[in-house]
Amino acid sequence: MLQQLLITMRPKQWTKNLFIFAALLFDLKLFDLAYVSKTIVAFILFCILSGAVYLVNDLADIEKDRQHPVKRNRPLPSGKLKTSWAVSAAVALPLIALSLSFLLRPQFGLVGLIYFVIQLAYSFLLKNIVILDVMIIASGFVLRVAAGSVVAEAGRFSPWLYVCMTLLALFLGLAKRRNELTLLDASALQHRKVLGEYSSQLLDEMMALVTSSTVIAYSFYTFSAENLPANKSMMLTIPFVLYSIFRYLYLIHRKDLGGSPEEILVRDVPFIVSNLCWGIVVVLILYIF
Amino acid sequence: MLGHRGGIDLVYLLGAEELVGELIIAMRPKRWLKNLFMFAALVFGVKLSDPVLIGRSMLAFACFCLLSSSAYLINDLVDSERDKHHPAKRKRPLAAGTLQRSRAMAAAIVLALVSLSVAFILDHRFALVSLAFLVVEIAYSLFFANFVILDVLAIAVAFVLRVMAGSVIAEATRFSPWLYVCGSFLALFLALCKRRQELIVLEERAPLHRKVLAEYSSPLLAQMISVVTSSTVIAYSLYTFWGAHVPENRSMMLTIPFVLYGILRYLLLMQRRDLPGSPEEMLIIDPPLVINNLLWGVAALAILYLS
Repeated sequence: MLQQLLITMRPKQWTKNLFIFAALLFDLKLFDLAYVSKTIVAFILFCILSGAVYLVNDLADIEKDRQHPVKRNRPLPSGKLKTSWAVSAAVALPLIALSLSFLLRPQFGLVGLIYFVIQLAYSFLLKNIVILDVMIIASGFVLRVAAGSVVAEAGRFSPWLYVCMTLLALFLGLAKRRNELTLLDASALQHRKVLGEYSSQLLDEMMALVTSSTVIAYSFYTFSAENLPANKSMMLTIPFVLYSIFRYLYLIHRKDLGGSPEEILVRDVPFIVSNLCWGIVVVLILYIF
Repeated sequence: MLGHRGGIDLVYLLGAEELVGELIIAMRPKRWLKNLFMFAALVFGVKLSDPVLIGRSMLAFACFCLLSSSAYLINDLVDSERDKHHPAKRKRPLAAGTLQRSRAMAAAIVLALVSLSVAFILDHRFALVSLAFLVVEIAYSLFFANFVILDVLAIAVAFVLRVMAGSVIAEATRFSPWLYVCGSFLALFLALCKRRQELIVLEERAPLHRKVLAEYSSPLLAQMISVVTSSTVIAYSLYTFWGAHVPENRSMMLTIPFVLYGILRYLLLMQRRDLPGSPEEMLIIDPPLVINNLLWGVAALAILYLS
């Protein structure tokens, strides 16, 4: 039962919560044990919160999911996870996680609460409203970054990184919509009504807008943020960002990589290598030079 | 008298006149235009009035021309089989067989050694950048050219190295980072447009000519192009009001329309299937584009140096 509960909480999606560590990394506190442990706790709390949102979501969609060719195998629609169990978990988990969040730091609790409320609003209402749906996904990422920033008490976190991550998150959201639009059939339209409002052309244009803005915001960060080396060596990381974005576009356009773009994050080797190299170079530049 | 005769004999024996002609074609002097990017630091660092720096930059430019030619020779040596399938490239000296492989190889090595030695005499750091440039150019021919995305990024890196080399030689201390961003995006833009044009013109034969084209699609390239074009325009705009050396009265902003027109005009040309030449040749033969670029140059120079 616990295993089914865990499956419903989508551990794969928890990778998104890694954004909580952004402030720690960029505020040069990656080797400060107190902040690192606090941020790890914050990460776990966010995993519980986001998992609970999926629980609520699946509970609400249980009837609809039974008709979906793939989703009907999920623990709740298939009956492998009892509804009563799921309901009690969906109530208890957020309560515990939010109380612990307020204990960790009141501001963090507040961000967690806002995140949870927005995610619920998304599940029940906003996901059916064109454009707002992807913007809410993006807000989720910004709140994760903000949560990390509050926990790490980051004083020098560049506003450009917020802009950058918001746009990146919008890109991921749009990419996801485009993927759903091209890969899934007519039954998908029934399932996610909002897809009918988008066209892949419109999504391409929106993606072009946010990707170029991301690249510019990141470039701007690399030579205008306060805590960076004066020799502008952070500019060396721009090619990795560019490569990763282009690679993601390439995978969307040229490879039919499963239903969810998140899989790219853990499956495409060149993409992973590029991101790792980016991370290593960033750490080297920020912490060693 | 005797020496003169002997010279003629030697030319006759080697067929040197023809050889030199073919060699020069294989060195692609038209592409040397790309190396003009090396003067960016000199021009935008407002150092055009310093004759010593100009002289050094010219010498550096010559070094890079020879280095890039050396890389083109190596590229043609590697690609000669594939080039035979390309409507235009099969006329290249190495693909057509009018230039012997051994001679091309010897020329490539001599050119590289000569230019690297001159670079070393000029400035040690410049020599380092030159070496990096040669390595990137050769690595492109042998390796990066076959990997989707990495192929265009390598081209952009080569452009950045050109600008950096110029910046080292011109001792430009306050060269705006925006111009680096702008230049490399512009280079990416040209490379992506070229891929797209080849995809359109060659259609299903495209991968025969350039293996990596099988990985690209026209919509994907269009999307990548829109990323780099908007980034170029924004980066240039930011340069015009935040860059080093631009006048206080923000008059450099007056040059933004030329950049915008240039990019839009180039995009328009890329839609045409019957281009009278290769995409980047349009920069020097399409009258509206040429006029626009000249006007931009005149305006930028006037604003930087007169105000």
